[in-house]
Amino acid sequence: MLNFEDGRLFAQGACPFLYQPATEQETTPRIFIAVEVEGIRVETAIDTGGAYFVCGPEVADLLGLDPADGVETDELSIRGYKISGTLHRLSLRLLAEEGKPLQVEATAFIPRLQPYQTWALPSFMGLLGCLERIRFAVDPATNTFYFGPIDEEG
Amino acid sequence: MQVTDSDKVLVDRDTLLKTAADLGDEALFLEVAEGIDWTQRSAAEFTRAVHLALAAGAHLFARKLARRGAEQYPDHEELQKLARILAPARVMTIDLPPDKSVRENQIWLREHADEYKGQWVALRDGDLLGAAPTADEVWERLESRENVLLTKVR
Repeated sequence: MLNFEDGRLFAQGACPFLYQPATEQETTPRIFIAVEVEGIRVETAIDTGGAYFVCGPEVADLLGLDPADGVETDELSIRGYKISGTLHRLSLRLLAEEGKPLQVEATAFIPRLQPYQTWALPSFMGLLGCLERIRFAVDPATNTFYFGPIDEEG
Repeated sequence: MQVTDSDKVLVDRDTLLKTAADLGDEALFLEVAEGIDWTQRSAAEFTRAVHLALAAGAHLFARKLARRGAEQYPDHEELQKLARILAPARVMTIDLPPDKSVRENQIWLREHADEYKGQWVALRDGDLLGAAPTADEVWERLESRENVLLTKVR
């Protein structure tokens, strides 16, 4: 595991990541890690340029969320695109192959699709509202994603 | 086109906020929003402005405004919900053992991506439990959902 000079832990958990494009149309690979979303395990892209945990609607349908717990948004700007949907507070768990998993209570956005629309993207973890309180590091030599909380002393 | 004094129209800040949101112009939105005296604004105006900030892509400002509105109007249900949902992520380490299945599932995905591309698959400990064109089809067919990774093969 990764440590600071004074011995404190930088990361308390680590997991392997997949390095693959997010859609069939893309060729640029992204980092995907396994995350448990309210108890359902999914592969999730890391998107440091994005905001919130954006939950793919196919997975969101399985979560059985109570609409009363969320806030409807007619328009939310995600990476320059206006999308309608619902904001929720969801519990995510970053699964650890080494060390300890990390529980994250994050802002989640669930897109609402029109009947003629399909969601080609995966679920992804953005910085604001999701990754913002996590220390993380990537080792491309071993495809390892390290993570730890910034709120606790290591 | 030459603009004369008689062509100039005074536009109130609320209209400008809406315009900035419609344009997805975060910089304009922030410029206008920061000139508003929010201590004089009603709960409904706070709520509307938070939604406009989300539409403008001003996500951090939306969080700040929701928190401020919730403090100013502690009995307003919608503002309380917005503040809770948009609050900074909270993280905590969980005392659970490492999970080796994360790597086993990723190995399966790497080895079988071409065979199942575009399909939803359910995996446990590196074994395929089911595959179908939609997530809910796979999920419904599972006898046990414990520690199952549900993902679309990319």
